Order: sequence, then C-alpha cells, then structure tokens
Amino acid sequence: MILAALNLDPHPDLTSSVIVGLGWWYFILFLMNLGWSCRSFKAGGMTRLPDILGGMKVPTAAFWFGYSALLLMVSGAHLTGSSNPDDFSMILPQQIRTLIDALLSNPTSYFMLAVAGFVAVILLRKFLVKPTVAWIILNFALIFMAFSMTDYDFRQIVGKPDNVPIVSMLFIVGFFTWLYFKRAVDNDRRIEEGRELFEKEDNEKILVWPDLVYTELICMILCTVILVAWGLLLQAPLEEPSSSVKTPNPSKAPWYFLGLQEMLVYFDPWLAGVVFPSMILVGLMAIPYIDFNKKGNGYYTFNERKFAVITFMFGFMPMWIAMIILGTFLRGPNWNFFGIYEFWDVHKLEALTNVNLSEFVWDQGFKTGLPKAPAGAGGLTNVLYILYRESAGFVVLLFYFGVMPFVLAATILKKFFYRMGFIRYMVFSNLLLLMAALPIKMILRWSINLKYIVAIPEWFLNV
Amino acid sequence: MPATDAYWRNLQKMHIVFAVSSVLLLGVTVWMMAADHAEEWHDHISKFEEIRLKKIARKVNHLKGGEYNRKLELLEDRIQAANKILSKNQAAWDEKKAILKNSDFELRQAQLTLKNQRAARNVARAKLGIIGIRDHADEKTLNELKAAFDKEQLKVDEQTRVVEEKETIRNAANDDLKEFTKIRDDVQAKLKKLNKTLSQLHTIKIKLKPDNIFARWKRRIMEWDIIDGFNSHYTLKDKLDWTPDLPIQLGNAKRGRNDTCRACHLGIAQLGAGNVPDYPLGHTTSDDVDSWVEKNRFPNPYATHPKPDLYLSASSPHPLPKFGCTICHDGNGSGTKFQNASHTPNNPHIAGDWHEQYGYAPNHFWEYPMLPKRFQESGCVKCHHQIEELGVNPKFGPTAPKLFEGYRLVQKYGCFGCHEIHGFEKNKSIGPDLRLEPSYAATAQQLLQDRIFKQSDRRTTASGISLSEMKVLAEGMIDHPENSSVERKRLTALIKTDVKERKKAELELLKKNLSKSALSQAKRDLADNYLAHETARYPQILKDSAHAGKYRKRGPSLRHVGSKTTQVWIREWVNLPSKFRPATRMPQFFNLSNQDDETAKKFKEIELAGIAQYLVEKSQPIVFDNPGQVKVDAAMVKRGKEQFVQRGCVACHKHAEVPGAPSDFGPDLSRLKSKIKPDAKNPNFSTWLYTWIRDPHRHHKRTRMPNLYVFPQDYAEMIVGKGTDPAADITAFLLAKDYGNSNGQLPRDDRSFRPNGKHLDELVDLYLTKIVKEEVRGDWRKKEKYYADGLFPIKDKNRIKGDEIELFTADSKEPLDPDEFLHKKLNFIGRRTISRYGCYACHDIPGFEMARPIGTTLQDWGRKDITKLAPEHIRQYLRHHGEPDGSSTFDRVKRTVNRSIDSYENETVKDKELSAAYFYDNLLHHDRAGFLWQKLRDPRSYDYKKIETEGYDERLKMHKFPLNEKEIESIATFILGLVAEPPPAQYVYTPKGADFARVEGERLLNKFNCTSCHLVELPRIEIWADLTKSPFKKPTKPQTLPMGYELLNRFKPPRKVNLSRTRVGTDEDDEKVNQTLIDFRGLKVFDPDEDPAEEDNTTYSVWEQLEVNGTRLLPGTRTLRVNDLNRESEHPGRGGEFAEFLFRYLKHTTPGLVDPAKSDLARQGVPPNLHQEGLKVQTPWLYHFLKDPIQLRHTTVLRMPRFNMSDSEARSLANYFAAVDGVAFPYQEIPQRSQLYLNEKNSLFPDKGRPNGDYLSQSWRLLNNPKLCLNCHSVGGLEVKTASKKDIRGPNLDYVVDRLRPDWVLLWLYQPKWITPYTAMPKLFNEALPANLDSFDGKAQVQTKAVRDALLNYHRLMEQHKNTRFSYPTTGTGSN
Repeated sequence: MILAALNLDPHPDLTSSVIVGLGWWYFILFLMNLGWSCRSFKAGGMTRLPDILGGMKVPTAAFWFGYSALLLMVSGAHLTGSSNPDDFSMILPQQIRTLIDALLSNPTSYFMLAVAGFVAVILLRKFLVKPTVAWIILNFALIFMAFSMTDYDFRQIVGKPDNVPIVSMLFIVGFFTWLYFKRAVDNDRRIEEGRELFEKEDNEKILVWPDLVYTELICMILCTVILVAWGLLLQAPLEEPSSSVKTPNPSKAPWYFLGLQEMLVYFDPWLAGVVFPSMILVGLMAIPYIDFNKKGNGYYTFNERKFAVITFMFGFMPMWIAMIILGTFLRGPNWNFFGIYEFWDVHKLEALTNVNLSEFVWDQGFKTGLPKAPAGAGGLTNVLYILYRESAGFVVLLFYFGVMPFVLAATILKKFFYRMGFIRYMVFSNLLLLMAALPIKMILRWSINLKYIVAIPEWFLNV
Repeated sequence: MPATDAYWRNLQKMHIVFAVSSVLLLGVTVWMMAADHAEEWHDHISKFEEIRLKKIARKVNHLKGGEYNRKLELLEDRIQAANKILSKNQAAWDEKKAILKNSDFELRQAQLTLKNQRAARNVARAKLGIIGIRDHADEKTLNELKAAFDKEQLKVDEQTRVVEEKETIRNAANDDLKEFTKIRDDVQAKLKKLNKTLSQLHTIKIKLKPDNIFARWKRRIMEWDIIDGFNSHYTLKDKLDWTPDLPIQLGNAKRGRNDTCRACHLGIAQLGAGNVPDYPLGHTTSDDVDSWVEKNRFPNPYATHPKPDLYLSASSPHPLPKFGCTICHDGNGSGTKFQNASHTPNNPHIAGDWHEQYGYAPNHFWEYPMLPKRFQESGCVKCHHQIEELGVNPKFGPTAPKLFEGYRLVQKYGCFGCHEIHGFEKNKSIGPDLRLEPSYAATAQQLLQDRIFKQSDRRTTASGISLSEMKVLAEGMIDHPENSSVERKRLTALIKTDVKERKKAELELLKKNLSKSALSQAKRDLADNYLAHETARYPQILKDSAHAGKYRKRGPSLRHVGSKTTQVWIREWVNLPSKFRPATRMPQFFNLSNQDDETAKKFKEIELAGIAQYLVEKSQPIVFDNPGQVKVDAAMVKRGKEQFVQRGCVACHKHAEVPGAPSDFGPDLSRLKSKIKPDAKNPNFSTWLYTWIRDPHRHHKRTRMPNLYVFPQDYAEMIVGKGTDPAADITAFLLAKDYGNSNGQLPRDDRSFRPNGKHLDELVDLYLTKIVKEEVRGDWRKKEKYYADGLFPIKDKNRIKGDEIELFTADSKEPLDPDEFLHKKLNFIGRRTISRYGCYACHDIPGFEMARPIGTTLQDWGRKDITKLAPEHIRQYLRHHGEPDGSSTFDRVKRTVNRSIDSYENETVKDKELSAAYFYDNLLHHDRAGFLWQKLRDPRSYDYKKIETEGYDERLKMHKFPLNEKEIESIATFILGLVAEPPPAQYVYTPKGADFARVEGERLLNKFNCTSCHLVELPRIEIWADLTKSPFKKPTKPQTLPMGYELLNRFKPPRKVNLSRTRVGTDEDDEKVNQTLIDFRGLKVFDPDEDPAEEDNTTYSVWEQLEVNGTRLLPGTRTLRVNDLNRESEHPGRGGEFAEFLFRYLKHTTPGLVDPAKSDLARQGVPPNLHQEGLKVQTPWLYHFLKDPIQLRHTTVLRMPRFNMSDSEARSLANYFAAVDGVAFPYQEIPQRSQLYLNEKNSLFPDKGRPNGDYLSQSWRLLNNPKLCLNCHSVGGLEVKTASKKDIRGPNLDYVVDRLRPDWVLLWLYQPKWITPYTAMPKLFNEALPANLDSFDGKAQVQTKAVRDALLNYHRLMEQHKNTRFSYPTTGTGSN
C-alpha cells in the first residue's frame, strides 16, 4: 500500500532506503579491503605492470589500496548522493538478470552448473586455495550480492529473515571447504616432497585451563552477543496462524530439510521421506566399517583419499547444499522454478506431463496400451496383471540393484571388490547406487519426463 | 614437542578479549531491555498524562474565573465578619469553651471508670461460669460467686448512669458552643462545597504531578526507561480487554480475544457524566497539546470513542468490557505496536503518512486486518443479520448508513438472484439472508403446461391420478406458494405414484418381445398417457426447506411475455437496455469490454435472436379482461393522463408527460408505445396492457405491482367523468405515442429477420461438441450428418439433461424441414444463452423452474481467500484503460497520489478520487475490496487479453449494472461484511417482540414501496422566531375538557424546545428583533407562490405539542407563517413523496382548490399519512385491510391498492405500526365492551323516563342524532345524505368497531385537529359552550365518551335497536 503512495509500483527495484543500505554495504567492503591492503603492504609483494603501462614493478598493495579507495567513493556516492531511485544507475543490467534467471530457473542447467562447479573445485583446488584468489572470489561474491540487491525480487527472497541464515551458510560452507582444501593441498605437497605433515609439525599440547576453557567461555559470550543482536535486528518472521485448510504457497520445510523436500519431487513419499533418509543415516554410520583405506587418519589430505572425499563431497555439495539453495531460492509458488530475479507469480505454469516407464513401454513401445485385468477378474488375476504391467520397471530395478554391483565389481570397482569381500562390497555398492539413484532419476525426469520406474498406485507403491 | 607449563595464548590479551566481550554482552542486554521498553504506548501514556494535566489546569482556571472569585470573596468576608463577632464576645466564648473542656474531661474520667468496672464485672461473670457452673461448685461457693458478680454489676449500673449524666452535660455544652459559632461554621461548609470540584481535581493532579519534591523525584525516576517496567501506571494490566466469549479463529485454533488497544487509545472510554466524551475526537492539524486542550478536540490515539450512547459506555448496547475492540474493528488486538495492531489506512495518502510516522507497511499474514474507516460499518454485519435496524433506528438514528445503502442496492438490483447469500448454516444464523424464494409458484404454473392437461377428453392419467385434483393443488400453490406445504406434499405423492406406474407399464411392454421400432413406438404411446418426463422431476424442488429464501425475483415475469411485446423489441432491449430506458435497472449483457472482437459480434446477433425467439415461443397465454369497443380519441388520452396521476401510478412510475414524479420504484413508462404489442385490430390499444392495469396478478401472481382498483367509481366525481373506464383511458394515454423518443419507434415486427445460418451453426457446434461427444464416442463423429438432416443423435429424451432438449427430434428417419431445423437451433441457442447469462435469476422464464443460481455465493465473501481471486491481467488493463471514457485508471490514480491532499476543490471530489486510489491500490495488492470494485465497475475487464486464448463460452458473463463509484463502495461495505463468522448467540442481535416487528416492517415498507404514498415520519422545520410575539407570547391555559388534554399529553407529549441559539433578525416590518431558533414537526400548508398576498411566506401546520418558554403550542390548532428569511432549514420527513406530489397536483389542477383556504381539501384527497397509525388502528383490522383493502375514505381521489402480500407479510406490517408507536399488539383489549364497564355506566347514567333504557341505548340515540355524525358519516346502514356542499363525506362509521382503538377515538372526538390538522371533521363537543344536546344532561365530557362507547359496541347495538332515528325531545332544543 505504501508503495502505491510513493510511485504506484508495488515492486520497485530501488528505493531510497535500499540505496542507503547499499552505501553501508560498500563501506564495510571498503573496510575489509583496507585491512587486506595493509596485510598486503606488510607482506611487501611486488607485481610487474604490463608493458603498455611501463612494465615497472609496483607493490601489490597499491592495487588493493586503489581498489579500496574506489569502494569508498562508491559508498560515498550511495550515502551522500541523490536518494532518488530514478537518478541511480548502479544497478544490475537487465540482460545479466535475464541470463542468470535462464540458467538458474531451469533445473537441468542448475544441477549441471552445480556439478560443474564441484568438478572445477576439485580440479582447480591448487589454484583456489591461494589466499589472494579466495579473497578475490569473496570480493566478487559480495559485489555480486550488492548489485543483485538492486532487484526487488532478489531482495524479497534473500532479505526474508528466514533465509538470512541460509545466505550466511553459503559463505560458511565456502569458507570451510576452502579451509579443508588449503590444508589438504598443503599436506599433499608435503607428502610429495617428503616433508613432515602440518599436523605433525603443529603437535604442541595446550592446557585445558586457561587455554581451552577460557577460549570456550569467550566464544560462548560472543555467540550470545551475536544471537541477541541478531534477534533484535531481524525480528522472528511470524506468518499466518497454521491452518490445515489453508496452507501457504509454497509450503517449505525448514531449510535443513529442503534437500529432502526436493527429493519428494522425484520419488514417492515413502522413498523420499522414509527410505532415503534412513539409508543416508545408516550409510553414514556404515562408513567406518566400509572404509578400508588406512591412510588419511588424523590429518587433512586429498590425494590419499580421493575416492572417499569425492564421493562424500558429491553427496554433500551438489546433492545436499545445492538442493537446499535450490529449495530456498529457486522454488516458488506451486513448487515451480523461479530465477533469483524473477517475480514469484502464482499463475506461472510449467508443463509437467510425466510418464511412467510402463506407459513408455506399452503405449509408445508396443503400442498396445497398458495391460488391464478383464472386468470382474479375481484378486490374484489383478495382482498378476499389475505385475505384468510393471514388469519392465522390475527388470530395470533388478538390473540396477542386482546386476549392477557385479558389473561394477568386474569393471571399475574390481579393486574394491577384492579388498572388501563380498558382503562389505555389496553393502557399499548398494549404498553407492542408492546415492546415484537421485541424480539419475532427476536427469530422467528432466530429459524424458519419466515419472516412476515402477508405478503401482493401487498399492501406493511407486519407485 | 613435549608439553610445557607455558600458556598457549597470552593471558593478558585473553583478559582484554574477555573484558571486551563481557562489555559487549552487557551492552546487548541493555539494548534488549531498551528495545523492549521502546514501544510507542509508553510515550502515549506520558503524552496522555500531559494532556490530562493541561486539561485539569484549564478546568481549574475555568472554575476559578469570574463567578468563583466573587463567591469566594463573599464567603471569606462573611467568615471574617463572623470571626469579628466572635472576637467581640471573646470572654463569653472562652467561658463556653472552658465549660466544654471541663465537662469533656469529666466525661472521659467517668468513661474510664466505667471501663474498669466493666472489666471487673466480666471477671466476676467468668468466675461464676467457670468455677461455679462448669466445675460443679457446691451451693455455698456458687452463692458467693453469684454475690460477687451481683456486686460488680451493681457498680457498673451505677457508673453507667453517671456516664450518661456527664454525656448530657457535655452535649449541652457543645451545643452551646456550636450555637455561638453557627454562622461561621455554616459559611465554612459553603466554602468547602464551593471548592469540592477543585479539590477533587487537585487530588488527581497531585497524583500525576506531586507537589512534594521527593514524591515528584520518585515519580520521575519511576518513569525512566526500564525502571518504568516496575511502575504500576506503565503496565498493560488495566488496559486489557479480555473477551473469552468472543473467540477469534486463528488457523485451527479458537481463542478468546485479548485486546490491548487501550494501551495507546488511552482516552477511548473516558466519559464524563451523561455519557459525554471527555476527549472528543477532532482532526487537529496541530501537534500542540495546548491547542488541543483549548479547542477541546483531540486526535487519535487520545480521543474518546464517538457516539458513547451507542458504543463502549456501560449503558450502551456495546459496553466495552463485554465487546472489546477487535470484534467490530478487526485488527490484531494483541499487537502493542502500531504496525502489529494491523491498522489499515483509509487511502494512500494516509498510508504514506503512517509509513513515515510509524514505519507502517501492510502485513499480509494477519488474516483480520483492521477495517479501514471507509468499511468500518462492515463489522456490524457479524451480529446484525437483519441490517434494517442499522438503517432506521428510533433510538440511535441510522447507525450504519453506508452499509445499509449497500444492502438496499443489493436488494434493488437483485444481486442475490445469481449470488446466493445464505444466512444459515444448518439452523444457525450466520449473516443476512438474501435468497430467492423457492420456485413453487413457477413450478406449479409450468406443471399445468404438461401436455396431458391439454388432452380435452382426459380426466385422469393412466395411473389413475385425477387431473382436476392436480390442477386444484397447483393453483393453490400459485396463489399462496409460501403456505403450500400440504399441496406440495400431495402433489409430490401423486407425481411419484404416476412415475412408478409408468415404469411398471414399461416393464410390461418389455416382456412382450416387440421389435425395436415397435417397442419404441409403443413406449411413446404409453408415455402420452402419463405425466411428462419434465414433470416427473418436479418433486425434488417441491420439498420443504427449513429456512426458505424470502425474496421474489427482481425482474418481471416473462412467462406470458409473448402477449406483451415482440421479438424485435426484446432483441433491441437485451442488446442495450439503457438505450431504450436510460434509468433502467436491467443490467447490460452485451457490448461490454470482452465482446468487441469479431467472434462476439457475430454471435451476439444469434444469441439475441435466440433469446427473443425462445421467450416469445415459450410464452404461455393468459385470459384478458374485455374492455369492450374502444375508440381512442384525444379526450380519452387526456382523461388517461389525469387518471395516470391520480390513481397512483405515479407513486412508483415516472413518465415524460408527468414532470416531477417522485419515485423510480417501477420502470419509466414513457416509451411503452414502442414496447407493447398492440391489439391486432386496434393499433392504438393493447388489451394486454388494459388487463395488466386492471389486474396485474393475472399476468404474474408474484408481481409487486398492486391491484389499484382502476374501476369506474363515483367517489371522485369532480374529476372522473361518469361512464368512462379509467383503465382503458390509462392504456390509451400510455400508448398514444412514444413520449420518450419522438424521432422514430422501433420496428413493430420484423418477419423478414433471419439469423445468419453459418454463424448459427458455428455457435450450435461450439456447444454441441461438448455435449454430444460424451454420448457419441469418437469426438462427435456424425457431425456433418447431423447438420445435414437435423436429426439429433441422442435418441433417448431421458438422457438429455441440458438445454439441448430443444434440439430433440425423437427417432424419426425423415430429415427435418430446414426452416424447422433453423427454428430449433435458434431455440437451443436462446435457451443456452439464457442459461449461461442466468436471465432466470431475475425473471420467471418457462423451462427454468429448476435452474440454480449461476454466480458464486457471497455469504462468506468478506473472508474469501485472496489467492482464490483471479486478477488476471487487470493491472495491464487499468494501466491502459479502465475509465468510462477509455482513459487510464493508472493515470487517474497517479494524479491523485501525487496531488496534495489540500488541493481539491471540494470534499466530494476529494472523497471520490481518494476512494478510487484506495481501491486501485487494494487491487494491486490482490485484495478483495479492489477486486470487487473493478468487478462492479467493469465486470468483463478481467477478461482483458484473455479472450484471444480462451473459448467463446469460457468468457466472463457477469453483467454490468448502472452503478456509480459511491454506490459500489456501499455495496462493497455490505459484501465485505459478509464473513459468516457469527459470534456466540448471546451477541447476535436477535430482535424479539416490538423490535422484531419493527425490523420486519422496515423491510416490507421498502419491498412494497409503502413510503411513496404514505408519510411515516413528519418533516422537521427550523425557524427563527420572535418569542415575544404571538403565538409564543403568553401561556395558553387549557380551557375545557381536561380529559382531552390528558389524552393529548399521552399521544403527543409536550416537547420542550431547545432555545439555546439566538440572533438579531428582521421581522415582517423590517425592524430589528431578537430571534430564537425553534424547531417543530409539521407539514407545509401552502408555498409562497400559491398565495399572492403572502409572498415570501410559507405556512406550516404544527403537528406536535410544543413547549416554548412556558407557552404550550397545541398541535393542529395553529399554523405558523414563516418568512423565507427566517427559515433556517427544512428536514424532509420519511415517505409521502407521492402524496406531496398529488397534493400539489390537485391544488393546481382542480378548480377551486388553488385557494389556500381550501388547501385542506387537497390534503384530504391524497393518501393519508401514517404518523402514529399504531395508536389509531387495531392491529387485526390492519392485517385484514392490508390483505384486502376496503374503500374507507370518500375524500381521497384514489384507493388503497391491493398488494400481493403473504399472510405473514401482512401480519408483520400490521404489527410494525403498533410496534413503532409502542402500543399493544397483535391483540387489543376493548374494555368499553365489558359488562363491568357497562354496568358501572348504567348505574351512573340511568335513562330518565325510560325505565328499561340503559347507558348504551342513550349513547346510540346520541350517535344517531342527525346533527352529529350522520351529517357526514354513514352509520348503521343509514347512507349519508350530505345536506350542503360544505359537508364532506367521512368514512363509514360501521368500521370503527373493528378498526379504531378506544383512546384514539376519544381524543379524535374531543379535538380531531390535534391528531390530523387538515381534517374536515369538526370539534363536536365543547364544555364551555351551552350544552348543544340534552343527552347526558348536556355534559360534553360524558357525551364524547358515550359516542365513543356506542361506536365500539356497534354490533351489540345494531342487534338491539337496528337503526334508530333520533327523536327530538318535547322540551328544550339544542341548536348547533
């Protein structure tokens, strides 16, 4: 209502309060980079300018100081300049928004991007762990955020008090992944060079009191301070009273369950809601018993545990974290996909004509239509007909869980099979296949609209 | 590396970090507490205290000003004087004081001794009790103890006497002293009294702002942030309204309301004595508290609630503790912040202000946002399901006028025809109940169309059901559908028996092994002998309903439309009703915004032709009245016009020839010539119209058009020429020409019209594709064949449920004749279009008896889930279009929003534009109000850019009503109030007794438009009068008949006129005089222009008893002549617009009546006013009169028409008048008929000279005195023979016995003009004059009562005496 009072646009991209907010954002960024510049100055690194600029060697810190100064100017322009949104040009260009929306609002490309990012992190780990590179990436992310904030819809979704922890989670996960790789790359290099491991070198004992307990106490106090301040600044997002007749659209699970909720799109509730979560827990518990690699205990390493790290990280990064991000930021009303700069229009429609495997086989393959028990047939006949109808699905499942382990054992996992023994190998390979089932099913859904491999709604059994 | 004892971290640094983080923790804790205490309501409390203090200071100043100081000085002087006298007699005074002191001392000494004595006595008594009696002491000890007690008791008695003595002495001394200081003490008491209010104010002030420096500091400290949490006046405890009986639904839970609104709205319930607001609301622009206090106007949130008589106060119907706030206003009562309380701004400007002031933003998550000011009346609907009491209320006036207007508009336009508003859920009332009555009457009419009734030789069906019985039952249902339970049950049983028998017979046929074609032929033959298949479905609508709808269909019946008008006219009319009749209420179906494409244009012609053909073809014949040979000539038309005005047509209809007609209740009749189908032989006359005027019920049993008794009559001889037929005259007048449109009539008939066959087939195919493909599998494969031969593919009539029944062709093999096929297709399209647009919601159309309303139900629309509204592309539509002239609504609103609120030329424009901005804004937020606003402004606009992608039959169908934006807002107020959330039963307003009768009556007054003819509330006139002149000059003394005055005081109690406003004005002689504003209720007798001698003066008759400055002004006996300059205002009464119109008309058209002196005659010619009708008539009589009005008056030029009223409606209306006047109903006692009363009278008034004569016989003789009543009234079978022209014939007195209430008759006989100032009835009895008649010794008082008693014992007397001619006594005459 108030928006109408100002400019009749209920969804304004820029308002004067947003401009002021961005001013402070750039100012904080300036302060951060000022600190970084000082650090760089102390380190005293030199960079050679390109030949066009004279080819001189200048202190690297000079670049950072220059960049910081630029940020300060931008901040000043936001805070002191005109607060009239119409006069303001530092906004994200529409073309970029459209491009990003197109990439993100399509599940296939989003997932592919996530996987590609994951692969890139693994491959480029040695480059990425350099502090300067990390700092540049952080700067880039923060500036990207600042530009995106000039979009109304982005602000709505990111600024929702519910979603603030998820945004911070993005950075926290990034930091810890970076930290892991930094240590792992370091140790791997040490192993290569035959040096002592970092953890060995750093093996100094410390006292419980005061070193540990005092630190913990201070952490406790600071956490309390942060939580209280957070509670005061971002009020609890109180929505409408719960009602079984009127549910919010979209209805979202708590953020940490959004990955599970995403699975519901591809699997029947009993699988996505019961079997898979149980298998995830069981699988995580089983890791120590499955793991036969004695290396990598007590220290960071990548090269010595490539398979374990990649498998775990694939399960965690593209399939858990990326799904949470997807569920939070990209799923909108009616559980449709929306780009981060796209208006959440409840009237948006997506064609979702999904087809079961049996329909592929009977309708499109044999062109006979689904087999159906004759009218008035007995119970057993009906059961047999249903099994007959879904026989293709059963064959696929049987192949996937029954034959595939052996195929794998005979081919790429030969070494695993020998070292694990039959039972351990079967547990391991089935867990692995279950994990792979999710991306496989997702890809099948996106590519050929496959709904269920086995679809027996009569018994509420769909796979 | 081995462990060492060294610390890992520098401990010094750790301490610093720890210290800093601890300080941070302290900081956020303080921040948290401060944030908690920073809520606005703390500030409001401080500000409100400031206001209170300033108010007190002002009041103290006011009290101390002027008079107070003088009094204070006087009293102080007197105290000083008294003190002086005292000091003069100082010695004597001192002596008295010494005496008192001494005696006081002695008394206290004696009292002390008594106290000790008593203690000793008590010890002795206890000893006697414990030792002597409990422990069984021996005789001796017991005696000793008893003696000890007696001794002590004696001492006590002795001392008591002493004390009493001393007391007497002391009191005497005290009295002496008081006598001495009496004067001074009295003055001191007066001083205390003078200062009482001041000292009370001081007490409050001290509490708010203590004088004592310590107390003040304590209070100041207690008001500091955070500490104020421990301060009693900063708690919510006493500002909470907890209403567990009025729960609120929060999701799945229901819980009591917890309204904390008074945390900020501190003055909301602060009322002074007499329910006067302590802090009256005023839109003070300034922020200055001093200015608020000075003007005694306060802004929110400090102001007191308006109308304390109605809201919040303990004596009001909505006391605060019982109701709280949010039950009426909605909003979040638990929210203690401006934003959390869910306030709603009334327009975007306010929203902007609020945003700046309070950070306001709309909160979609609270499901009950506060009603904005424009819809605040919506909240009333939760409890007031009848609505009527909110529009007309004798105690509080119109309390929710906007809501009431919306409700009336919904009634007026018949929205409930398509959108059911169901007031009940099971048996619980959940809101207003606006639904159509069950279609019993229409069904019965349609039932009689069953072809079996047309078989002339048939008496029963093959199942033995008597057709004549069915006919009788059906006709009963047509006549009184609301009381047709018995008929319907029986009919249902008969139909069901018939169906059962037919099925049995069909089974028999199957057993006969006939060939397929023979079988179907046999089946058809068989069916002809039973009731038709359509009829067999009727039992499902003939069922009883626990709460049947009450409303009749809004439009006229189209069941016989074929005899009324032509297809051409119907086509033109439906195409654009406002073209033919600009003020029509018929909505517009075509030429709307989703119909400007080629598809719609080509189908429109087909649809219009279809509707017209279907209606005319299905029309059923009626029996006409025979007007005989009619030859229309100019004289006839002229007579017709006069009759049109005088017979009451103008009470509901407008006509171009009758300018100034007051009502638009019925349609404008100017253009009937172009509409009505004339007789074949006489193009200037229509027998249909003639019959309709004479007997509307012939055409439509449920019509609201009454039977006006337009028959030749003799009672208005002076106007009506003898031997003419007024109905024929009116018909001739109406059909003489098309008055509204001189340049061309619509074509009379158009036989050459043929619809475009290709378009017709396209449209038929559009519908059939959906219907037929289910039946003929394979997507309607035989389509081409069907369009070639016209043989409908579904062969079984039973399987056809929809409109395609019109295409049914049985199983003939022969192709259909092309013309017949075209005809059939057009009928199908007609029927389909009627179904789609829901024409049957307003009109009775044959074949649609079982149709259901097409619109969404509205009973809970006020809470409709906003995600279920489909705004579609309305934003884009309004950005580019939206206004009636095609301009953009967005631009209009933008102008409003960017415009300063003070820049409007007047309030009306401002309200209109801000209202549009509000609704537009609301629509942008997908809310209900905005959606509704646009839906009513332009119902099809939601189809913007949708028609390109959706099928023709999927387009929106809502029609456009001629509503302006103000009306739309009223309707929205009503509709948004429909939330179907009734609070517990004790809160729902359920009127009983008189209240119920009043509510029902109001509804019916509106339904039958009674108030067009009859005045029910008198106008109120305000004039500036010189009170030193007549008639206000001297006190009037009641001269005669004290009984009469007593009665008058009961009927019209004297009202003290408020004389607070005065001015200096000019009188008739242009001299300056002091004038006072007085107001009175009365009627205009004549206007300035009517009397040349009295230019600029209007004359009024006063209808109430006024008390001005001690002068009693009796009603009716005086007229007031008022110069226009001295007339302040004239508030119209309620109703009687037609009477007023006719009054003027008669005065100006009737020879002789233009004379102001004859003004009363004209008044007598118009429908009577019904002011205080309840006091006058007996309720049962009124009921019968309403059902079947007899001719009562001989002076009026028209008769009370007969309305098509149900029994319960007539009953309610009869009760209404009694309820309004607060008298007994529905039964009245007539004590004058009781034997006890008559015995007493007999003994008081023995009939002299006639031994067996009794009181009543004497009275009867008096009544029959030719000099009295018989002059003007017929009574006892004696027809009046008016002797002279001056005598005006009054009503037949035979009716008095059942019609009038005894007290009213008595007052009427005492002085008729007191009741009706314009009456022709003279005052008959007067004590002051010589006795005019010898009966009852010529005592007027007794005579009056005797006449009344005779009239009320009419039947008894008629049986005894027949009619008795008065015989003159031999001696003594009375002349009058």
